[in-house]
Amino acid sequence: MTGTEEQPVPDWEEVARRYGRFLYTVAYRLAGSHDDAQDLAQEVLLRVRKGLETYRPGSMEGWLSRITTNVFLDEVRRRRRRPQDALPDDPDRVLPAAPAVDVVIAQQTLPDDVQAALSALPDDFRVAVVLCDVAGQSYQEISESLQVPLGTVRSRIHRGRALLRTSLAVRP
Amino acid sequence: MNSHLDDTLSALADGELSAEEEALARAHVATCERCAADLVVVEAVRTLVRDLPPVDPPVPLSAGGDLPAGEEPAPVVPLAPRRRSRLAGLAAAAAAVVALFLLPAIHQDAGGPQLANLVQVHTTSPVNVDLVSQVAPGALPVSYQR
Repeated sequence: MTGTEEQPVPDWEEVARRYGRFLYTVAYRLAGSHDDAQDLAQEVLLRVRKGLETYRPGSMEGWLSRITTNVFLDEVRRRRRRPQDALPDDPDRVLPAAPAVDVVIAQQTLPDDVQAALSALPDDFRVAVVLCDVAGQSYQEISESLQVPLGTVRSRIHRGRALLRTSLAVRP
Repeated sequence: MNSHLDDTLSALADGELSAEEEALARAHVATCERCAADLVVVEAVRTLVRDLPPVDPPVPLSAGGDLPAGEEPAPVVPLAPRRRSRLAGLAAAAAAVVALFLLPAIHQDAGGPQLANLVQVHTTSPVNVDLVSQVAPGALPVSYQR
């Protein structure tokens, strides 16, 4: 990081070529399907191409993660406004109690199972977990991307993991 | 310590605690069976997600095809200054006149007499007259206003 001054937006084709796999992986883990991931990645690249996102020198992965998250959450909010796609408005109020500790995570959990469990998370929790564990962002970076306090990031990541644990756990 | 660590466990697993916080958390985990078990599970879940394989797009990524008319791509490299040629200006004026003819034709109920008036103007005007300013002064592009 050399400063906070805005720089010319990187060429979208170069971004797609060098960071396409990273971008698509984050999009897929957030969206949960190839169709939605392709739409998401395409919208991200379109925003890059049109220069709609401010670019500052630093981590390209961090920048792309932030754009991808914003596009994803924009779509989530758009769907929330449509009654047929209504989602829980506050995931904190619909969470089940933490499971007992006598559960064991399956040793041979398939990636598809993990993805299914990720997809079942409330959106805010999934975003936090994906940014942390898939995109490799620090809590500070996630806090800045989502514009929420650090404590909220910590809580969402932990509660997301607690729900994943419930989904992926097998009882002995 | 009476309370359990809860979301501090994830921060501990992620190395997101300060040195002082981490020391306190590890001291608690060393004496609390529940938090020790929870930390193991948190780390296992964390590893499962982190070990997910990268996903390649099934088709090459695109940026949505051609941009809509009028939208410029990001200024990756400086663009040459845009020049508005005289021919382009004439073409715009011609397009405006054509549009004025077509609009009443689409809305035929109200357009019949207006269309006739426009045809009259066109057929009786000298060659160099400003047709646009005669039939629709308000429609003049800014660059053509005197």
